[in-house]
Amino acid sequence: MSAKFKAFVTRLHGAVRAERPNEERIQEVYQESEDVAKEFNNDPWPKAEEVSALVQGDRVFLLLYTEMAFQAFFKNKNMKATMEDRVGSWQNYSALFTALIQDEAGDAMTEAARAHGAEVMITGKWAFDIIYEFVYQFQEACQYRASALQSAINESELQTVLEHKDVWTVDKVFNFLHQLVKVSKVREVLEVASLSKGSAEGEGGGAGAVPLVTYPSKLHYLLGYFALVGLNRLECLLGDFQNALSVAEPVMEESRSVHAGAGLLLSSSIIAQVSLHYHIGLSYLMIRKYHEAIKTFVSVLDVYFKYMESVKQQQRAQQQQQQQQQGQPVQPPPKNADDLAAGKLVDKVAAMLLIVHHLCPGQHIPENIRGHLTGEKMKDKLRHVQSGDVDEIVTLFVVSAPKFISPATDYDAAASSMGVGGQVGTGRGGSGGRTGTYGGLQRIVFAEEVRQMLELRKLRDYLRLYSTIGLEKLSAFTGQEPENIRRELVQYKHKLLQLEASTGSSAQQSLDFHYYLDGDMVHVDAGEHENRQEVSKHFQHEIRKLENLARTLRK
Amino acid sequence: MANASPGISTGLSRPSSYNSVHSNVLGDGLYTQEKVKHLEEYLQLQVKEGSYDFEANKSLLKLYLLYPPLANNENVETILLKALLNLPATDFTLLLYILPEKLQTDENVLTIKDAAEALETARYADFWSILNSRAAVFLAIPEWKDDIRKIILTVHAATYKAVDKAHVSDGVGLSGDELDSFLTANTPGLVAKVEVDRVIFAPNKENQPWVRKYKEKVDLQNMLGILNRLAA
Repeated sequence: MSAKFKAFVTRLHGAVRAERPNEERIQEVYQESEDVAKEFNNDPWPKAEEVSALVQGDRVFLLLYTEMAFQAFFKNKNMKATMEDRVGSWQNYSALFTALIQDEAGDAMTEAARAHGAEVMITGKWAFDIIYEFVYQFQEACQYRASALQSAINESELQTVLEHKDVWTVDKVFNFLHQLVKVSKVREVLEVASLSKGSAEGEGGGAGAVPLVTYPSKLHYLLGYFALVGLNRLECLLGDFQNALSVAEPVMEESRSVHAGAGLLLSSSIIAQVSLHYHIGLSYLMIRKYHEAIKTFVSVLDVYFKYMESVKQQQRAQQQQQQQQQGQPVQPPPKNADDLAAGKLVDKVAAMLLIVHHLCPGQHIPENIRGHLTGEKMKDKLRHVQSGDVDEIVTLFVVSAPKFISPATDYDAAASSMGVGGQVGTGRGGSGGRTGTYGGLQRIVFAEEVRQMLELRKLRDYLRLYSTIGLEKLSAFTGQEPENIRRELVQYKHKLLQLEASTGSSAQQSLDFHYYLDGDMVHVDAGEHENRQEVSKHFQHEIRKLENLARTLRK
Repeated sequence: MANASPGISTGLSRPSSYNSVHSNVLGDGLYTQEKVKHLEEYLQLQVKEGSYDFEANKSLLKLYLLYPPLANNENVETILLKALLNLPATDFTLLLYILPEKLQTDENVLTIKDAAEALETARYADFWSILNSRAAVFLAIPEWKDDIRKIILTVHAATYKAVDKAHVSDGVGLSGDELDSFLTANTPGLVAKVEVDRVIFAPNKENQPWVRKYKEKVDLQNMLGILNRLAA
């Protein structure tokens, strides 16, 4: 263990255990871990026992430390994690969360658990990292287990997997997150916050009417808050998109109500913000609330661009300062790991936005976002979408979607298929669906929806040109039998009703046109195009500009 | 679903034990095996009462997903058939996303999926032929066929102001007197008049022109300034 590493551990311990903890200070030291990790390119971090003496055997701190060590280990591309590592990491999460929840039933919280939380302080970013990694390692463990059961790894790993059927199980993962939410009282706190805001605005100070809810400790609150975000991601990975939305609603509600996100816990990490909105937008897309999906994707792109702009400004200021001091040009600093990861996720968000906007056109997208979507970086993706080819769109969807997981490991089925296969080591073939990252269902259902929406788009483009048109004439245009067009028109009415039911709003908001049939005659109403509203503004603006120009010239 | 169009409501009611199930079984949001039994009983209650609770049924399917050995094929079929009765809401699609792997290749489940797709793409002839060739699959819920018929008629009522009777006949899979009595008896609010070879639907907001609300987007003061300048 290097002196530098020892100093880091001691500093971190000192910061989280300070009598008057200072968040900025903690964040500063926590951030050093990225740098520290470079020391361990080919080794895991020292074990808890080895650093224990440095921190006087502080148990909760050592659990936090071990979590960091495992994160670094799983992120390190030179390391190959075995089932035993996964078991070790699981046990550490279990110990950490149990220390904060204590009572297994989650009904009452013991004083010890409360005390554990109260003694230690971490930051929002750190808490998010813990929960995010917890969900990631679960996803990864599901995949690993599945490929071990398919004998794609090796015999001894398979044995270890079979010996540890009780780790990283989906019900335990769920329950830990739910219990963190429960003991932290985060739902109640957020609810009260939104209520008191409402009453303060409504009646000019209904304070006192709302009972004050306090969380057991800041640490509890932070973990509980991000457990909601973690649950959102977990539900998404399992394909329960409706639950994904409802579980994150308190966090989304807060981010909608707090002005410009100032002081928002969610904004303590750019990844937290991008990831949550990515999963929310995806959920809307999958449950066919296309307008909500577009709104969500647009808003997070906007947040990200503003964030990057401020990062650049800071860097420019720093560079200038250094340049003045050193008198020579300074290289811009490399992006930190978080910004890089957020950037990658933002590319997926942009691809999803392209897809959903193609399926459901007519919704206004702000100029700066539109610019990004049609820019050089997105050129290939844009071409895939605009090809109107179902396969190309679905392929782009698959690479931009998260890796959906089949949560439960069916050990019996795996065992019997091994029996049939005769020998261990026959590789991946055979048992088709049993691949941990299944997502086949999501893809198939989505592909069918894309096919239908694209046909609807084609028909819509014709219909929007008319206020009335006969089936015969429509048939002549599209080269389809009149009866097939009739079928499509009934089908799309079904879909419109569906969109309407799922948005709980009028069809006017779900699609930008409307039709009905009287006998064989189609009657069409084209919706008010949102862009059209911009036109008058645009002209007024231009006229004013010209006027000013004329005035200046006259002077 | 809230806010459905007038006359376009599936009218599925809540099960009688809705409140107790939601507070005692679903309340904590946890996924525990013990809940399976309660939710299975609750599903049977819905079949008996003709009531519906999507959230509870989705939870049951999710538990089957998390605990594959507990999965019960017949219950999954019932859940899916129930969801189709709530068309055009997206219930059925949401369930497909969490269908346990083992059941994705189950023959009865595939039959229901095929029927659902025919229904959603308005291929009614295909739909009725699947129903007739695999009738047993659709018997799990009493009067399922009749309820589906009403949904199909609802979609027609949203599409047409008036239409040839033959098209309605193909859609609901009935003809002659059967069709006439179905159209008159079963459908308050949907059908206005049944003629010899035409069906006239009652007006609803889908089969009428949109009522336009024009909103002035140009500010008069602004415009006056511009007009003055132009006139000068």
